[in-house]
Amino acid sequence: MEKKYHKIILFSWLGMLAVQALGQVGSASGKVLDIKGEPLIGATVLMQGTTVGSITDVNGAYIINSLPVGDLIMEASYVGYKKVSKNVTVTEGMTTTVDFELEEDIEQLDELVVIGYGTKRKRDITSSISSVKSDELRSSTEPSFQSALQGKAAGVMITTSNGMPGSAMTVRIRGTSSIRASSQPLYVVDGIPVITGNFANGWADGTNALSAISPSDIESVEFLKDASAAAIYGSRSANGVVLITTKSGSSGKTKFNAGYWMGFNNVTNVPEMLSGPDYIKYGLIAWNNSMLYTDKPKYSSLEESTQAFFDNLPFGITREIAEKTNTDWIDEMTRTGVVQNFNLSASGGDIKNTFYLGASYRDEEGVQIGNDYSRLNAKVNFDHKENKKFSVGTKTTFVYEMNKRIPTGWAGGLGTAQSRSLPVMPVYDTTGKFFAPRSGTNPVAYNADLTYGMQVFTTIGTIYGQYNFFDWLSFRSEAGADIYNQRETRHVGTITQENAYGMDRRVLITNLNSKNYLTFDKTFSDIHNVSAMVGMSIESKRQYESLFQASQFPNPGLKNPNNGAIQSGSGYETGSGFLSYFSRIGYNMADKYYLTASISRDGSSRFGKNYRYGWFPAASAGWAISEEDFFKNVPVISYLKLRASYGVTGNAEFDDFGYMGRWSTGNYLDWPGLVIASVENPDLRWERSSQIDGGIDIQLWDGRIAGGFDYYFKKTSDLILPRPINQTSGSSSIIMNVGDMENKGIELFLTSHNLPVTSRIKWVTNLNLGRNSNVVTNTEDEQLSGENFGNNVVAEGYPIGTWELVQYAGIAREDKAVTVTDWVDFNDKDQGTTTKDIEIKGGDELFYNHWGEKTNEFNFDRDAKFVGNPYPKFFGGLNNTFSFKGIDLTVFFTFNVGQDVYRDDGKFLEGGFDGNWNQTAKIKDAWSEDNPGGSSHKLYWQPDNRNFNSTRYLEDASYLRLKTVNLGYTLPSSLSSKFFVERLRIYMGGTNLWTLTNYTGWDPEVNRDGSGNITQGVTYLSPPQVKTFIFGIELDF
Amino acid sequence: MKTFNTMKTSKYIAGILLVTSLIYSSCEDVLDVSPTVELADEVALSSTVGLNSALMGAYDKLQNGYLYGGRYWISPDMITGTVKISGLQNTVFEELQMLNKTMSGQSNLIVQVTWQVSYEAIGIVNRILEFLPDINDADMTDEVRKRIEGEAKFIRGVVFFELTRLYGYDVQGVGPLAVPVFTKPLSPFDTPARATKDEAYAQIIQDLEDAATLLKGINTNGRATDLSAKAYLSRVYFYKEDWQKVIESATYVIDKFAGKANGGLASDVLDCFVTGTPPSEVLFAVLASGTDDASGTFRGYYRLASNAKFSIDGSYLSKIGANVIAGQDDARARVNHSFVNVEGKVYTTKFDVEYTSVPVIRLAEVYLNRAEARVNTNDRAGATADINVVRNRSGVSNLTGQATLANCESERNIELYLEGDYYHNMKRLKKNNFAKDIIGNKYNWDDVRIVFPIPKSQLDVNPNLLQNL
Repeated sequence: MEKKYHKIILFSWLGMLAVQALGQVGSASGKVLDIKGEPLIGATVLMQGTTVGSITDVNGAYIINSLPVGDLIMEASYVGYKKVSKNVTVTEGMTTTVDFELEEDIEQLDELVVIGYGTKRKRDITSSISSVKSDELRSSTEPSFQSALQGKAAGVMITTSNGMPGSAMTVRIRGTSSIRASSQPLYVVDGIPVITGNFANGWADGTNALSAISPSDIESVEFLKDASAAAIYGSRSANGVVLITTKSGSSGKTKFNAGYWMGFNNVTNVPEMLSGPDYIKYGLIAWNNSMLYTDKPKYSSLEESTQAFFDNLPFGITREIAEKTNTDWIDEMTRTGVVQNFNLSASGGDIKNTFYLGASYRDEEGVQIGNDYSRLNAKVNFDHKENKKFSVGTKTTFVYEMNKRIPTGWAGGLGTAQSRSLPVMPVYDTTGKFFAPRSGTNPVAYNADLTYGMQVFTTIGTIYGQYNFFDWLSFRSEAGADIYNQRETRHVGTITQENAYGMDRRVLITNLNSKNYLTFDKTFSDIHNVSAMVGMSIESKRQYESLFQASQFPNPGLKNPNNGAIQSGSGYETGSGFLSYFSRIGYNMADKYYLTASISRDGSSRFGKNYRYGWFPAASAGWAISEEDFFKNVPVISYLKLRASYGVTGNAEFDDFGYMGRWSTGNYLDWPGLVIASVENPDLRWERSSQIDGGIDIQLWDGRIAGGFDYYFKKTSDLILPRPINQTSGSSSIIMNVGDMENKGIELFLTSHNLPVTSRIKWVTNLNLGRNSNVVTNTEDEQLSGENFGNNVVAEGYPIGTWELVQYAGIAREDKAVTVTDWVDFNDKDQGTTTKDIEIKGGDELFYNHWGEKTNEFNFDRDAKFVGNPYPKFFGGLNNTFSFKGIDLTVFFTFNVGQDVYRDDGKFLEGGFDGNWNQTAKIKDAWSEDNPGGSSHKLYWQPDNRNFNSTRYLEDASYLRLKTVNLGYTLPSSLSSKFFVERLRIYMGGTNLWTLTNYTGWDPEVNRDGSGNITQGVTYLSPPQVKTFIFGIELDF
Repeated sequence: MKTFNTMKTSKYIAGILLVTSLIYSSCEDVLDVSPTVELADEVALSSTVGLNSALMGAYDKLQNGYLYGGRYWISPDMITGTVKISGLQNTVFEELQMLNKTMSGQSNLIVQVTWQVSYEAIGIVNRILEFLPDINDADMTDEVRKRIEGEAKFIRGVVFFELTRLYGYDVQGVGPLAVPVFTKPLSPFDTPARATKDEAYAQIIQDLEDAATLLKGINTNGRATDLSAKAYLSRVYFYKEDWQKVIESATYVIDKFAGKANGGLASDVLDCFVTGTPPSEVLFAVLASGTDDASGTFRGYYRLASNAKFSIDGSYLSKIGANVIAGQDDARARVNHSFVNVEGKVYTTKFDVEYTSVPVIRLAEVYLNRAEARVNTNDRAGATADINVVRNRSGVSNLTGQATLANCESERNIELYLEGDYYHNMKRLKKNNFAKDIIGNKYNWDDVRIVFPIPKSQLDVNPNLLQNL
């Protein structure tokens, strides 16, 4: 039945031709060139309104036979170029020459942008959406694709915790919108909401489940930033949505692309620690200041005191060893890592079937010794168009990652190397064995004793079927899955600890989903376009974890926990479900006036029984002024559109069972017991954000300059917070929706084709900039602390993540007696204040007390204030691309300005010697009678300064970074065809090659524990970012 | 030219509608997800196994360092000043507040958490008793039902009693108030008021009497029995000063030990403080084992080998006649037995055994309760006999003459020292100047500063609670 139908169409087409041509045909041939005279390879030349045509070859030449004789219109088109039509007269039996010259379409207003459940032309978009295309990702060298997006979309802030491959990333679209729930956006890959987050066990650095996606497979990434773009995703849209679309095939000859690059990883910066001799020199000064040069000296002579200092060295370091040892532990733990990446893809097809197959392999040595990463990635995308009505297809990725993580930061490794590993301690002793392996301060020994591997198998796949009832009505059904399967094994032997330890941990996360929607799109009377979409989506997620660990192994060769003498295990299971019904309608009159509205009804298993479903409406409007008649003669401005939107979005990324009354275990001796873990809150529901957005899109001189500006204001309410409740209920707190927060800001983007389109040299500049300010407006008068250490707090009236610290006032130059204020009774401030006299000594650390006076007392409860902001005042990227003949150069800077970083390890690294921690070189400028202007306090042994959390360690971490440089040369097509390839490009470049900042720590881009809302901008021995220098080659054939 | 088949299209449409409605009806199920590592309310208590486990959870709460695992006993002694800072370990803010009687008006942590954990225990037992009548599965027999109900009520009575005597106060203009007392599970948004002292006692007595009846004949090793309930009742009636009832409950218990050595008492007081199940003198203990520690808090406060925070106050030692003379007859006062003296500071040895079970109520106290009740009902001979049983056990000779109230008091002071009784007894006897702070100020039995205030966080969420003023 189907085939018959198919034949009818075919014959009618041919019949049409036959009728028209009365059986006569001719040919056309020619070349398709660009403005500079270069051939455009693979351009399409068609008879307008038909599929009769051909594709240009490597010389830009084409030939079409069987054209009907007579007058007709021929069209030439090529991606990124404006379509050109020509009137042609075809003569029977003759070949007419028709050449085309195509101009680059820099306006790109008809380019398609992916929106939720569909695509739209750029000119028709009235929401705030940033789009990043694949060529902007291709210079990236980092494994996680999110780092390639840094600075590429206005208003989207992306930070990597540290430079370890696959490390956790913080992504914020228009600021942080939650306190206890996640602020990360929803990621949708080819329609599948994917698993994100960190599932690794311990060790300071988190991992990133999205590191599975290879940047080379991505076609485009769209950020849905405002409510009218994101609200269709209902209760998960409050933090914005990131849509990732992978490459599809296109019909025609099969195209192959292969690429290989190799590079070297190094740390971006190394802070200076004390050397062995300096440790002795300054350590002795500190020691003597405390033990000898005091009112009650502990020793009677300098020699005795000095000897006591050496006797006090830990772990059996003798004076003899200390005086001749100078270990650079940071150097012992870092290296230049080699990274290699190989990718291969094939895409092609015919009228019915198109495919894209890709494979890539990445192998990386991290800059920290012992840290390696490799990833193998395969992609299969296939589309089958049975006929005009029916099509099916699939997009699937299979990934295997092997991440050999090592402890770092506060957990050991490089963290220990820059803190507790003393430079006077050698790595090996005189017999060649590790020196003090059980001390916990020999990370080289620990690395030798550690066997660790994390393997992740990820499968992300979707299949779809689409039925087009008519060309204006279609139904699409998609079913997809994301399966994350992680296995971690760890074994530590007896070199560094008394009992060997082994662990085997498995995490399996399955995310199944399906979406089904009907799309309507029809234009009436040529100017009224109405589009509508109605659909539903369903998602079910399960997470299973099991851990098996053991200690005391009989033999170093036996590493599996099963061989341990003392075994224990634990398990965990959780899950959630989402069900959503949604609809969207849009009206467009003559590409001038636009109106869109959408609504979503979302339900989740995470909501309490009184609030199972929520409604999320949104609307936007746009006016393309430039298309108005009165605007036609305005010079310079070739396109101008005003747009505004408003909508309500939700955030459901919190605990799976937060609303339920639950019991957990509480055993009494050997009898298993149950105790109340929480009581029910049937009103628990999503956090609600309402956002307004106003924007302008503008193009000057036909697209020579294109830009846009957005202003947004986002108010988030119903933030979930734990609230104390009446304890007679049997529990002391439940989570309730009570908090409020606001984010507002502006976004700006600008693209400039600096030289005329006809010029031989091409120079394009892209700038994007975002500015966000956040203030927490309601936490029911409570101050909350951060998820981790670092002194960040949440306080009403302040931005989230601000710090509570005592303000530092420098170092006292000389002894001074001053009078300062204090409370009569700190616990009863109504009694007022009084004054007291204090003695400031030269070399003391000074702080500002509650009344702004300088004092040498450190009183946190009395004097600490809210200060600083871990989130930048403004941030973005500046990209410049040059091309001339075959040479291309991309120079991309990212900048984050106005954010602070709190060096939580500062007080231990610069606060003074305690015998266990090394100090940074800053203490060399310590105050002394000969150095009264010293920037560090007078050296003492085990001083209290080591506990003082002050703004001394809060630094402005603004930076300008040369994020990507890429210089390439593409062989002229005449040469490359000699190698049987269509295009051959060799290039070199790098990532993070240069940074400008005043920050004195390792790297201003840092976060100690991943992507929390409150604990941000904190470093605690955190490893740095990595700079990479690469060479590579890519070919199309 | 468009040809399409209407039949076919309508078939498609019908098919899609059918599929859609099927999808819709089963779709809602995706929102029903249940936890598996924790249990939802309805699931947890829906079987006998669940109820038993919850009961063990309630015992687990009694083990908590803020309840019988420590501070039910330690807090009264901090308030009284029978203990003082030893200097071996730093004290924390809330302990200093208790020693200095500055708990009221502040958010004292011990006051807060004692309240919280006590009500967690109440919450568990109330839910057990709520669900119990409906469970009829295969494991539920009459005996099991009685046992669960009996043990649950025992725990409830005991916890309400401790709450009442720690937080209860004669509130100005209102009368003697206890704490909120209730027998049904409450929701987080309920705001119960404080029961009067009489109402509280009535409920406590009701619970313990029920427990005694239900647990008769049931003896689960290491857990509450009818003897536990009756013995505890002797204490509750003692503090209520219902002397007839004291004698009745005490006799019930003591008769069970008729003919036993030392009247049923162990040969040494310190024998009651051991790991695992203590000797039969202990009628109810909160147990400890090597893997489930009940006495960690005690060790931190009192055990010399664990850098005891507290040593024993000298004037208290004199009061109880514990002279630091070696070789003393009274085992309870003997140095290097019940005490050790290090550099002039005296430490108790009651909690020296690691992981000691905590004897909540023991037979010696029952004897003393009955003794005082007998004095008050003119059975001086009976009282003397009871006191002598306790004295003889510790190597002390009989009383000279007939027992007086003063004898009862002093015997109690030494027998039960640091076992959470002295403070309550002094208040019952309306003693003035019995409590002192670090500086030396003295406090009377009715001073509001020696009573736990109602935690501020609870006053904030429950306007029906009145503060102790």
